Amino acid sequence: MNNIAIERNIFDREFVAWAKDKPDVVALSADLTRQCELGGFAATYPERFLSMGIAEQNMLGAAGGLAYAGKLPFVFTYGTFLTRRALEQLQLAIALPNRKVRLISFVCGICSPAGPTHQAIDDVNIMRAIPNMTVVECVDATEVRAFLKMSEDIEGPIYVRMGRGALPKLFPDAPVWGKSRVLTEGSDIVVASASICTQEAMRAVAALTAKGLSVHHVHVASYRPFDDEALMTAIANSKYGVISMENHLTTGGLGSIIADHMVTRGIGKKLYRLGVEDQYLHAASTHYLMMHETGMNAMALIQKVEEATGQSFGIESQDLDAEIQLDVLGGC
Amino acid sequence: MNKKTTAELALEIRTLAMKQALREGACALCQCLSSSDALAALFNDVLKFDTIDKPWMPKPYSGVPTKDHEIELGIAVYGEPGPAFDKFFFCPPHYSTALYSALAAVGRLDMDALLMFGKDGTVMSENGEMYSPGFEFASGSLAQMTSQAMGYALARKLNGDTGRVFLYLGDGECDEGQTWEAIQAMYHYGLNNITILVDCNGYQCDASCEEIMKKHDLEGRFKGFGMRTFTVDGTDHAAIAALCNTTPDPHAPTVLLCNTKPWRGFEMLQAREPRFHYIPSFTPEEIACMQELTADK
Repeated sequence: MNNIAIERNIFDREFVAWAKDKPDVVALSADLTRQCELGGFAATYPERFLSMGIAEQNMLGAAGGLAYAGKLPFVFTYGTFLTRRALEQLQLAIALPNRKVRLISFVCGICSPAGPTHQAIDDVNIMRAIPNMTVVECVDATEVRAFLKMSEDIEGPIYVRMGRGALPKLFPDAPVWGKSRVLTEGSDIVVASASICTQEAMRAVAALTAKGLSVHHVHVASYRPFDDEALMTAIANSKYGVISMENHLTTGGLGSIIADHMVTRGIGKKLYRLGVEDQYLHAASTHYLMMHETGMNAMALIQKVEEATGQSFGIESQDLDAEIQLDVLGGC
Repeated sequence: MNKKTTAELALEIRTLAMKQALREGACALCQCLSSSDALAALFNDVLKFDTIDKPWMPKPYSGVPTKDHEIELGIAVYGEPGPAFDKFFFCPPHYSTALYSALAAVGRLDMDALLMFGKDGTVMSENGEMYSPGFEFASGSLAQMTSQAMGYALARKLNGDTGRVFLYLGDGECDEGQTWEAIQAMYHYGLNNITILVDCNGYQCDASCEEIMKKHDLEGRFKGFGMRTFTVDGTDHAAIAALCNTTPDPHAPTVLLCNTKPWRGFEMLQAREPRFHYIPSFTPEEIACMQELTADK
């Protein structure tokens, strides 16, 4: 894990290159342009950069109108402002008429030091309940790099939790839209991790595997649609069930999505959930919140595996691979 | 396709609305009365649309848009869209009867469609939907259409389209914060291709604007946001048409505050003060009066 590459401002550069020969692409910003990896686009294509002021409700409505008129709007702001402040506009002007609008959502989950006003810990839950919406997350370098090309085939709206700043390159290649990425195969227990939790889950799984546990570890980047029979089969065939681990409340997000699919298929295994328990958090670094106030860290996952399997693995934090420090994601 | 004078057209809009009220026994009638004159002026003397061969007869409701299903929008009544044609965004969906009546009166909507009003399985919704005649956006939650119209007008400006954008608002809708977010963005982008008409009938759902939420100096508010504003007698067809057709300001959108009354052409309704939003049942005297006003029409 120590040799994982870190790349910076990937989306900013990718967006500039991708939009070059696409004159209908316009970008809307609610006065958070550099903070949302949009500085390059604004400087390169000023005539297609639309400053909407600190007025998210109108920004979402205007995006619907622009799309109706044939433009391809990309809307940039933080997750809480998209999914809380302007939710009705998002639904009526974009989702209901199935407009081709891309909602590029930043500092999701606990990735903001600005406290609960900026921590979108419920956005997956909200967005996956919206008809016509595609909901994905790109916080690994390969995912961010793949997003724009993958988005071209989707005619309706997309909500994407987008990573910014310095991001790790955890995976060798682009993801497959709608399917989870299998990181290790195993039969004792399934770990389904998402977002920035995956790098912590990888640390835990490596240590558990070294102790002889057979772990089926998948990384989830697509929340809706979620059509992953292979994952359901792995859960059905596992000895101890599945643990979900997400940068989100433990209700309504990945854990609930998996629960929905298990129940409708009659898969009678136990589901354990890690993430943000039923509470708002407070202003602190991502690293602090991960390690001390949520279940989003490797040791929490190991404890949950021990609970699920009834075994004790004797793993201490110093036995784990080095962490990837995420505080470079910070800034309000 | 329409040879009526604007005054005749306004009267016909009111008459069709009253006929619906008599058929249904209930109606958002006052909105039809207060908006009838502006709608007549717009359709007779202002709006430029494609011609259509015959009045549109809506198909049954066919579902909402999904990745597998495209719908026919209510603007089918305006024929083919084009960059030189005008756009008419009619925001208050509870005024649907007024718009349906106007479209039927000018020969763009089949008169028989009016008989489907509010019926399940049709597109003649009480609250105009994006597939209802004359509509193309969801606006059932007030102020929603204003932002979408702003985005549409901005795209027209970026594209260099010559068609104008008209936007019709209720005065109660001006309570919404989103209205003012949209207005400030219209000014920021110099959307002088937009003309907004506000139906200042002085009443909202519960009671008068004065009682529910004061709109102190509404014209001054629009002016303060940079708009070019005019206050007009909302029954003065010639004045409304002339202002709508005037040369655009070099930068600012134009706003017409149309002073109207909810009992326009049906004075007896004034006795309902202060509740004019929706009339769930009419008195025998009101019914007799409407029968008289609509007789032989």
